[in-house]
Order: sequence, then C-alpha cells, then structure tokens
Amino acid sequence: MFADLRTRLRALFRRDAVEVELDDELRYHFDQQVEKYVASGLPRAEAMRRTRLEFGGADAVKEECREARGVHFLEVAAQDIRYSLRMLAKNWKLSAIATLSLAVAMTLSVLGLSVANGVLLRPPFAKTPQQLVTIYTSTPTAEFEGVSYPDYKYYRDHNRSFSGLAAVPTSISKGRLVHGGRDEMGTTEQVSDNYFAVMGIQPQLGRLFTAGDDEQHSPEAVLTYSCWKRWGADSHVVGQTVMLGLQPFTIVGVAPKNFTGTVFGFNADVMVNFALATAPDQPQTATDRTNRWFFLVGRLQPGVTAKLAGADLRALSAQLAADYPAADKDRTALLASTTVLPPDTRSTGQLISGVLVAIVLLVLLIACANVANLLLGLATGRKQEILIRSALGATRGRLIRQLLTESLILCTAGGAIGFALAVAVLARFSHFSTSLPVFGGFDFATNLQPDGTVLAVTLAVILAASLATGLAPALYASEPNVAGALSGEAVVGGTRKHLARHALVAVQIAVCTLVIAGVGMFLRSLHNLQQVNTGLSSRRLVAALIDFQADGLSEAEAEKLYEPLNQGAAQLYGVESQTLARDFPLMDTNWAASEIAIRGASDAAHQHEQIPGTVVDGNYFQTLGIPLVAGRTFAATDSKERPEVLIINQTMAQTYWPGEDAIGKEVHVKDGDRNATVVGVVADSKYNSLDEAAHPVIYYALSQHYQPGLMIIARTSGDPRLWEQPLAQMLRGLHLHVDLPPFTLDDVMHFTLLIPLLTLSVVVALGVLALLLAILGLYGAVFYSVNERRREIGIRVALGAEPAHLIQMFLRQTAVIAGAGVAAGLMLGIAATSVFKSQFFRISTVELHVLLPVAAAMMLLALAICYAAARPWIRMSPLDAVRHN
Amino acid sequence: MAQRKVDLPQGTLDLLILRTLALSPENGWAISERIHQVSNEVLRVQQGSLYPALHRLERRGWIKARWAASENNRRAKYYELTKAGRRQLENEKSDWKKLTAAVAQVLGTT
Repeated sequence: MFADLRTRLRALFRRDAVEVELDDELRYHFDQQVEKYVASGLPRAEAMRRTRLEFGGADAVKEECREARGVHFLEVAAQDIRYSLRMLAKNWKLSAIATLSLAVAMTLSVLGLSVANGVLLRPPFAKTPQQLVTIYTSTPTAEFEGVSYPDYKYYRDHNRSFSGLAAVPTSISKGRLVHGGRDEMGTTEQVSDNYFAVMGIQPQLGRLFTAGDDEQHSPEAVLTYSCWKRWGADSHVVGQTVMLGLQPFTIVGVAPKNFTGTVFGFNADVMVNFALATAPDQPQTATDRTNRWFFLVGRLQPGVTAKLAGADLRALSAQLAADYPAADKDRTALLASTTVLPPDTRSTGQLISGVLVAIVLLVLLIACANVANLLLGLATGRKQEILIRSALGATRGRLIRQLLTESLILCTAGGAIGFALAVAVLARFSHFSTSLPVFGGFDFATNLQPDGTVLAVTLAVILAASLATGLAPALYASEPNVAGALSGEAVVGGTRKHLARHALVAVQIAVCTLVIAGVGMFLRSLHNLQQVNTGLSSRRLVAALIDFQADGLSEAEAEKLYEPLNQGAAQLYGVESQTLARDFPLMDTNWAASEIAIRGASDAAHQHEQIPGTVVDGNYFQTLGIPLVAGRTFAATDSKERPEVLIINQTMAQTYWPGEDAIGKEVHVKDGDRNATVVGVVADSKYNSLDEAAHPVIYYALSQHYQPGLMIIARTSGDPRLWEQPLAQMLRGLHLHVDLPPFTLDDVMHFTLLIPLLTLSVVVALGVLALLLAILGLYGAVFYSVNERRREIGIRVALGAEPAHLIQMFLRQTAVIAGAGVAAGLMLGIAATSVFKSQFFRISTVELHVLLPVAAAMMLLALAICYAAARPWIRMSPLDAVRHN
Repeated sequence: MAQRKVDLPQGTLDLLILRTLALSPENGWAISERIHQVSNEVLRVQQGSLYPALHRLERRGWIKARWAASENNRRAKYYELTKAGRRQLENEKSDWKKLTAAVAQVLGTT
C-alpha cells in the first residue's frame, strides 16, 4: 500500500524526473538489443533497423507504463481539462451555442425543481418541523374539510399524542387596518393562542401569543416582520393599538423575518388571536360545530408516531360523532405531513408541479439532444486528430475520458449559469405584490429559494446531462479505425452512427411536437372558455362591495339604506338599471348551498337536496340580463311578514318538476325549518365559473333575508369603468366605507381566465424555447451530416447528379426522420391529453383541430430547415467538395 | 530459432519476472534475455509488455528499482525482489503448480 502511494506521489510530483527515467530505461534496452545484434554479426545500421521494428511505438509503451504506474487521476484530469478548454475555445461558436442552450434549459430545470421542492417538500418555518403534522377532517362526501372551534377544543384537551395542538385558518381575510396615521387594506390571519408555541417560533420583538389568551378574551395582535417594516420598524410598537375594522387589538410583538403567515404564498400582515372570535357574543364561531374554519397543526410528543397519533384522533372523532351526530356523523380527523401547502390544495400542487417539472425536463432533454448532436458533429470533424492521438499511444479509455471531460465542462458551465439565473429570478419574485380585481392588492411571499435538496438534484442533473451529451460522441469518435481514417476514406451514408444521430433528431422532434401540441391544447381550451355563453346578456356591469357590518350598522339601519342606495345609483347619469344582491356572478366563490326537500315529490331522493343559492332583489334579473321564463320576479310586497318566495333556474325546474309548471310548487328548507313557494323561473346562466356544468340554483328574496354584506350592481350605457368612481362617491355620500375599489364584469371575467392565461403564457414560453432548441438541433444535425458526406456529394455531382436530385435525397431522408419524430410526438400528445383532459375545457382525447396543424407545421419546418442547411453544400463545385479538407 | 514461439498466458508474465528476479537483481533488458534463454528460446517477452509489467509490480511493492552501473558501465535501472515480492512469488508458484496439474489432469482424461 505504501509503495503504491509512493509510486503515485512520485509520479505526480516528480513527473519530469519520472519521464526522463522512463526514457533512459527504454533507451538502455534499445541500445543493449542493438549491441546484441551487432555482436551476432549484423552491420550496425541493419541492427538498429531491426530493433526499431521489434520495438514498435515507444510512445505507446511509455503511455502504458504511465498507466501501469497509476499516473495520478488528478494529473490526467488536469491534462484533460486543459486540453478540453483548448478544444472548446477553438470551436467557441459551437461551445457558446451548446452552453447557452444548456444554461437556458438548466435555468428552467432549477426553477421547476425549486417550485416543486418549495411547494411539496419543504416544511414551514418552525422549530424541528419534522415533528409537526397537519390535521383536517374528512367525510364520505367531502374529502378535505376543516375543524370547528368547539371540536378543536375537544381534540386539544383530550388527545394523548401531541405536546401541543394549534388551530390555523383555512383561508386568509382581507380588511381595513388602522394604525397610527395609516388606514389601509391588509391581510389578517386568526390563529389559536398556542400557535407560536407549538411552532416553536421566537419573537423578533415583544412577545407572541401565550396559551390562555383566548379564554381571557383580550384581543391581541402580532405584526409580521414585513408589515412592521412597512409601518416604519418602530421599536416602540409593542403596546400600541391596531384597529381591524372597528375592533381594537393590542400589539404584543413582532414575528421573526422568515415567518410570513400560515397560508402558503400569501404574506400576512397581522396575526390575531381568537379572543374576539370566540367571545360569548359570537355563538357562530365559539359553539357552532358546522363552522369548520380551521386546520390543526400538532407537535407529536417524543416517541409518538404519526400512526399512533392517527389512531388517537380517530378515537376522539368517533366520540365526537357519537356526541354530536348532527355535525360530526361519519367525520374523521386525518393526519397529513405539514408542508407549506394546506392539505386540500396539495393534490393540485402536486399536479401543477408535476406538469411543470415534466415540461422542464422535456426542454432539458431537447437541449441535451442538441448538445449531443453538436458534439457528435464536432467529433466527426476531429476524427483525424483523435486517430493521430491514438496512434501516438492514447488508449481508448483515455480518449473517452477526455471527450467526456469536454461535455462535463459544457454542462457544468451551463448548469452554473442556469443555477445563478434561477436564484436571481426566485430572489426577485420571493416577495411581490399584485392587485387582483375585486379583492384588491395582495402581498405574495414565496420562499422558493433553492436549498440543499435542489442543489444536490441539480448536480445530479448536470452529471446526467454530461453523460447524456458526451457518451455517444465519445464512443463514436474513439472508435478505432486507424487505417480507414489515414487513407482518407470517404464516408458513405447509412452507417451506425448516422442511425444514432438520426434517433437523436427524431427524439427532439417528438418532444417538440409534444410540447407544441400541449400549447395548442391550452390555446384551444382557452378559446373554448372564451366562447362560453355566460347567460348574462348585459356585459356593461359595474359593481361595488358594501359591508354594513364593518360600518357598524344594525340590520334595521342597513335596511333603511336600500332605498337611498337604489335611488343614488339610478340617479347617476347613464345608469340603466341597478340591483342589490349578495353575490356577483363568475367570481369563483361557491354559492352557499342549503339542504331542501321537494314538497310532494314521489322520488325519495329529492328529500335531501343540497342546492346552491344566492340572495337578490327584484331588479337583479333585469339588470344582469337574465330572462324571466315564467312567473314573476320579487316584488316590494315580498316582505319578511309574508310567506317566503323563491325564484329558481330552468335546470332546477326541469330536474324536479319535469313536464310540469314549477310556479306555485313548494319546497321545504331544512335550515330554519321553513316552507317556500316558487314564484318565478329564470333562464340558466353561469354562476361561479365559465366551465361549470348546468346545475339547479335558487334565488332568495333580499327583502326576506337580510345580508350584512351586499353588492350594488349597475348596468351602464357605456364603458362601465367610467362609472366606478361615481358609484364609489355615491356610496361615500351615504357614509359607507368603500374599502375595495368598484369593479366591472370584464375585470371578473379576466380574473376567471387569469390562471388559464398565466399557465398558457408559461407553456407558450416553454414551447417557443423547445421549438428554438429543436430548430437549432435539426439544423446542426443536417449541416454536419451533409458536411460529412461532402466527398460522396462531390463524386455524385461529378458523375452527373443534379443538385435538385441531391436536395431531394436529403429532404427525403429528413422527411423519414421528422415523420417518425412527429408520429411519436403525436402519440405522446394523445397519451398526455387523456391523462390531463380534466384540466382542459371541452378538449377531447384526440383533438384533431390541434394535432393536425401541429403535425403539418412540424413537418414543413423540418423540411425547410433541412433545405436551408443542405443547400450551401450542394451548391459547392464538385472539385471543392472532394478536395475540401 | 526453429522452434515455434508460444504466447504467454495471461498473468504468467508477472510470475516469470518475479522468478527471474529471485535469483539476482536485474535490469529490464537482462530480464527479457534471461527468460528467453532459460525457456530454451521459446518465450520472448516484448518490451511493450515487459515495462508496463515492471512498473505495475513496482507499484504493488513486490519489486523495487534502483539505478546502478551495468556490466558495460552504463547507467541502468535494476529491479530486485522485496520481501512482499518473495511471498507473492511463493503464492503464485503454488497457484501455478495447482493450475498446471489441474490442466494436465483434464488433458490427460480426454
């Protein structure tokens, strides 16, 4: 072992001395041999000739000796790197193209990996996050639901598995924050008093909530770091008061910088405890077991596994179900690992990140195929040089190692640039604000910075890319064929390496076809969505939100405002019609469903129907342009003292009273145990989203159902945006706060299409990139393969072949390769569509409207590139072609 | 040199070198000559395989090299067996005997 090390060290550090010794040793042998022949009677010149013949290549022997001595790996690596850099610098154009395409693909890969890592794997900001679990409830009909406050208390006080169990909101709320001279809209989250203790988070300033606060009913607030900074980073903020709407909260502390709130992606401003929400005057939240507005976060006791804790929770759920069957029958509490995504959005998160990573890896695949092709082309041109090296004693392994070093350098450079770019992009977008229509401005905090996991995967990807791009060219170029190359053999088409290269091009075209077909599917889906008939014949609608509760108005006071509100809106110049309603259509807010029974229905199934409904006044249908099909709309006479009346949509009428007149029919509403009569039927329209299917809907009368929050909606005679300000002024004139700016139907429609549009732009960008890379790859492949065959071309031309025929020959070959690629891409496209069909709108598995144009375009593109790449060579004179070296 | 040359079976070169050096330290050329003579001119070790083998054995610590004056007073590299080399030689010799006996046995039975 020691001898081994010594030999290697000597070989490494005393390289020159070792080389000289090797020289001397071989020379001694040579001289001795010559002397021996001379002694046996040969003339000296003949003796030298014979010895030299016997000896063969002294360099090959030396190389083998070096290898036998185990010349240090580092030395060879250093030599390889030096040589590779020289070669890459010599072919700098090609190197730059390869590095850039790899850099772009690597940027995307790191971004995709970071998003997937940040969204799916990374635990939230907490102490020893691996001990944390998230708890939600599930029933046979609803997979993901929250936990109500009284149930939370039961779980918290009776479990034997958790050292602490905290409640976090299932959604964030937006409201007015008044502090010092500021009055702004901010995001608030309500958490249980033990939340920070369970998470193990230490305050930046002051203190965080302490267990027992909630029962004290002392309203307290903790500012997030970003909010505190925005408000001037005042170190005396502790003890001051912040108003949330009309409620004062005492600021007790500031959370640390890395804590951005409990809901992923949103940057909360103020965290508040449950002191007010669970006060005795709030029976809705404090005691109502159907109001499930929390997920729970628990810290497992040491030694308790998630499985044990799950069994513990199941037993508690069973107890709750037995005690409160109305709310908790068949309801089970389930455990999920705590990641930044809440459990109900995790499957969507998985799908989105999965698709993202898949597309990004496809782009990376194209880029690798590209670089492999470029290197293969380069290797072809270097065949001579490589043969000379192998004639001088380089072994095949050494040659392969050296060629792989080249692709490793390219991939590492591309990967490093890509990683740096991705980090910069993620840093830029780790905090950003955007204004959403209807909901106003939102602060987003996405902690997606690459961590160790992403770095490790990136390094693995670089290594894989190096092998993927370098192995084929290295194997091909190092193929021993000394005689052929030295004789300057003309390469005639149809050899094995052509097959490999053609396969690479076909793969590129297939992947590109797949991605472009995906772009087509998204476009088609969006087109379909935009074509949807909303069922609202008015498009010029403007609306504003009114929050009677936040303005501190009682029911009676608010109802007195209905008339002035209607009057005020009607008096605005150009307002054709106005209405007060609880909901605005197409806002993607699921309308609350109530359980009803159809009176006199023979079908027992119609006794427990969950039908979504909304609350509107009599002008609603006229204002929105929803035709009244039968009966009447709500009238001023439908007061609370009068029997309850309903208006239903056509689908509901046809579902429950097929072939009958629905007017005058009665339904029983379980909530409040009341009967109501259908007085009108209106046409179907879209309620929540454009892609929803037709479903029954009930309209209740505003005059019979008071709402603490309302929309005032006006139909205008021109561009509705011009009425936003007048409408807001009118509301302020009635001493109502206008916290959120008025919005139009178009705003809402754009918002509905926001996610599809965003996805589309990402997919289009990736598609364009894939296309560019594929064009580059195809061009390079054709260019090099024609270049390689220039002797053959020259000979053919000299023998009388027409340039047109030669072009045709290349086009035919490309057509075969591209055809195979496109066909494979289409197959993959159809397979992918059948998997993701549910994500698209009205897309069939074999969408010919998309697939045929994509296939035709890809074929044409391939032929055009082939023509462009092959033409210069064909036009060369045959003499140049044959001689050119 | 009427006799047919026999190719060295894989792995036997090391054994021959070690055996040759067991008698006295030698330089490369002398080793190849000695093997040639002792084998009645049947075996000839080309330098293309001799020197890599010598360097490999040196790396393994079975032989060590030093520079010394040769009989014609030139500087030559002499290899000699180390203790580990001697042990290795015994092992390889017994392995070789077992192998040849076994091969002879097989050849004899057919």
